[in-house]
Amino acid sequence: MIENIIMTSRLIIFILLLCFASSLFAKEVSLPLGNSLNGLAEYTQGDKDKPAVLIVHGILQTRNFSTIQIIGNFLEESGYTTLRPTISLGIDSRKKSLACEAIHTHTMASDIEEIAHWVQWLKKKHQSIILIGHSAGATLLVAYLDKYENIQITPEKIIIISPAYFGNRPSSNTSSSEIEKARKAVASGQLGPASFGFIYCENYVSLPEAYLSYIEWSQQRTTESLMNISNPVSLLFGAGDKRIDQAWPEKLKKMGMDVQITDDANHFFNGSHEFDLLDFIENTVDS
Amino acid sequence: MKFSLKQYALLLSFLTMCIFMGFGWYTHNQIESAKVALAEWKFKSTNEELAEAVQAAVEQGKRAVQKFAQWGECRQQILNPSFYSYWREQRMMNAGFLPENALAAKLYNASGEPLSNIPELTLPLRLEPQNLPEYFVTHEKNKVAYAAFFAPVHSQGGKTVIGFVSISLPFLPMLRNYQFYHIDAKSIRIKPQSGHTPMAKIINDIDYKKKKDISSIIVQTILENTSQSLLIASLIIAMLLYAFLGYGVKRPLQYLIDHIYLLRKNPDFLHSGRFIKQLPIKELNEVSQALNAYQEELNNVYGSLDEKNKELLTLAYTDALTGIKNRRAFNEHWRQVCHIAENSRLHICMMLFDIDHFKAINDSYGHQVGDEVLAVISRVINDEFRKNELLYRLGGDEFGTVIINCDEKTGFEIAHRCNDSVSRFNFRSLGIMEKVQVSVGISCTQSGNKSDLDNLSWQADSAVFQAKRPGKDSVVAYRPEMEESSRSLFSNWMYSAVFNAIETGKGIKIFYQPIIDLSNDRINYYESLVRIQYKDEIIPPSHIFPIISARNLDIEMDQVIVKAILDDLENQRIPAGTGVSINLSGPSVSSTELVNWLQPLSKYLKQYKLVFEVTETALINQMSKATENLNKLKSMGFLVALDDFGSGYSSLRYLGSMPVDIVKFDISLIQDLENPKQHKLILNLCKMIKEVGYDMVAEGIEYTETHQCVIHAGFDYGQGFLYGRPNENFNSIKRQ
Repeated sequence: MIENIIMTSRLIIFILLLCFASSLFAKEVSLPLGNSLNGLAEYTQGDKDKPAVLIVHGILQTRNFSTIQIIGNFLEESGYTTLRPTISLGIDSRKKSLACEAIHTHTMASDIEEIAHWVQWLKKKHQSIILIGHSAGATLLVAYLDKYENIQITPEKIIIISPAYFGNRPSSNTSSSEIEKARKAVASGQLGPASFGFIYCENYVSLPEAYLSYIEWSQQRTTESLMNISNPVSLLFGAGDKRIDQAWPEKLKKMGMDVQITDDANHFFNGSHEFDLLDFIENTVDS
Repeated sequence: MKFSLKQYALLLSFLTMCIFMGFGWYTHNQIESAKVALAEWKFKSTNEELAEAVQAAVEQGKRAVQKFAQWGECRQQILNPSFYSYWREQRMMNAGFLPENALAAKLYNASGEPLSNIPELTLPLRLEPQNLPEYFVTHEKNKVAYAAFFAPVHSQGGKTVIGFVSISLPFLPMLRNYQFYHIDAKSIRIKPQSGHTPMAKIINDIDYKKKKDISSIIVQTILENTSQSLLIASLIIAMLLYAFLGYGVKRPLQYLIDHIYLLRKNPDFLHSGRFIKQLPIKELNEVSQALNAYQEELNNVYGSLDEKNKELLTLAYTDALTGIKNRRAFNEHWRQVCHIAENSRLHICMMLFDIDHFKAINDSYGHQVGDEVLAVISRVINDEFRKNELLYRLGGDEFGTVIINCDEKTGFEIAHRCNDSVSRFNFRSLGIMEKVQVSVGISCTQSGNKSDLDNLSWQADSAVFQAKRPGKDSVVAYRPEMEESSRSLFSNWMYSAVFNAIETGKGIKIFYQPIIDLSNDRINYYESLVRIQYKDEIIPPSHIFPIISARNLDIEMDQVIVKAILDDLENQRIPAGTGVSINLSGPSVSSTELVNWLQPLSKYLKQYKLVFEVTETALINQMSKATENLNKLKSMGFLVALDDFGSGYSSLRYLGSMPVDIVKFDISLIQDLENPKQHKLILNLCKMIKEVGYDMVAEGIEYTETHQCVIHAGFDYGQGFLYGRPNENFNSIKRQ
């Protein structure tokens, strides 16, 4: 009798361990994006009673960017299902970061469509989702929500980390002359690739229209979109983030947004500020 | 076949050298084999290395093209080649996804169509997707060989081929970058070829030079030097070995050989020299020391032997009784004198001294006194001699001397002086009441003729014979007229005949006289009696034995007689079932060699009764040795008869101790049987002897009466003319 109980207990423990292991099992997901391209994402199954989290990386980066990995790992360890896509940026099944000098045919719209594809894919699997975006990925999320605000995707929470807009951005190569050059090119019908100054890229080879699609997303446009999002949005800023107007977080805060500013933290929350980042995430997703 | 040590050393050295040279040759061969194997290995290794280098370069190219194919922007361009030309110009070569030395790169869609139609010399314009090539091409302009590599571009995790990429790389630098061990990288050349060369065949178009393998050259040099050193070492070792064997072994051995050779060849060296040099080899040194010790020991032994020899020589040449030289010494001296005197004009004088009536002295005063007389006379005479003049005892009571450079007159003076001294000696001190004198015979010659010298002996004998005659002067010199008077006894021819018979055996005649078994009157055995025939003359024993005795030739005479009897036995002249008795002289009986030279007779003991007859005198003189000899002969099966019993001492005490089987009564006793007074005494004597167990022989029986008497007296055997006279021919021996 006792032996049967022990055997049964052992079997249960084995099954539980198997389930736990499978919940942590990460797999790469390839998703046709509808433009003859495929997008790749890392999907990690977590607890079913917890919302699934879509994490979007910054411009030209991949899902393997350190800040994204830290956030993802933390959530996965906390039992959350995570989906970390790599935005294709016009590269089929892109796995690596894209150089500034590559021909950038992707646009803000194509990026938003990719996010929409991934949100739809995730929504099919999970009723409750949380969206997290970092840097330009945060701006893409804002743009996505702005475009699809009428669609009832009902994300439980939207977490915006160090959002970085493209136009009028301080400490960037995106100058007004560059913007003017792009606009003239479009106006003159010169739609082929050309080199522009863009964020940290001095030689960002892009189609003028594609270039301008990002530039349109300035601080103002982003703020407006943020204000229009009906779902709860939590924002985290590093006080030391020099990629944005450092007065912007406070402006948002004053505008009633849920904004948390971490002292001394930079755009990536490196070093000890990693804990501040994770604490923010934990507090936000669990609240 | 024998070789000297030097030859062996040479052979050993030669063999050593051959072994070393053989080893060197073997080593050289091994080195050559190793060199060939090394060359083959290097050739193989070089080819393999080149193949590996080609393969490595190809792999490098493949990796490069793979990296290029996996570049996301290639996928981007294949899927959307709208801006390919821009990308190709601005981006493709500078993005770091192609090797810096890449000559060209080209992208193709899934159908193998190029994204751009811009021609590349080293790359194909189109591809066959199912048959991607791998080849080399020689750049027409700079004649540099390029390798073209191709790779598919996949999408959706490698499941779908969406296009192809190709790159061309300068192959030679890639090849030269390989870490070569055997090939000189700078020497590698690729032969220009027109058209494309498949990858698998490019190796055939590559020329190169091998690296100089310094370590291999060093090793080869070391091995060759070692081989040469080995050869030199073998020569040196062989020379050293030869030198060592020569100096260390041969010289010491030669030293020992010289030592032994000197010991053998030079007797003086035994007493004088020694080899004391230290030898380099311990064992040989020990041999040398042992040889010296042996030499010393031998020297001591020789010294001891010399002393013993001198002692023996002295004893051999000295008369034990008188202390003067004996006959042997006389004979030796005589030979020397003859040698000196022959063919010279030296006066040689021989003197013989004979004691008058010595037998009577012996008989009257006993042998002890007789011996004292002999000693005194010899001393007295010797005292009268001058320096270098010696007296010799020739036997019994006879003495002699030979004086060189002494004429007859001087001889007379010496002889008279001696005679006077003897006469003056007080023999009463010895208990002798009678006058004791010596007779001296002198014989001298100056001729230097050998026969004259030989004649001196018997001439001196003749002179003594004359001197002993009554009324004659006691000192007589030989005169030729004496020869006539003494012819019968001492004639020159008789001497010669006797001596010749002894020397050669010629003339010896054995006469046999039967001895009758008185119980059945049959011949029991024969007594052998010697005669010497000289031409038509037969010399009787009465003439033979004085000569023999005078010359001390008793043993030699006995040996000749025994030899003659052996001849008769061998030829079966002596009737079977009988026997022979042989007379042995006193010297023979006491001779140490007696048993040996009588040994041949023993084989006839089964067929014949063999008896040795000895006289009392012969036994008494050397009783101990004679008894020993006779006992040995008896143990061998011979019988011993005591001859002439009753003629001498006839001591019963002696008889009891004498090893005899037969007692042969002297003829005088037998004749006394006819005397009534003696008859009874002899009968009792016979009875006593008979009771003791001796057989008795009566000799001298000539008459029947005597025959009856001896039978009555208990004699076993009888001998005499009554039964048979001595005769050479057995058929003539008749029972009387």
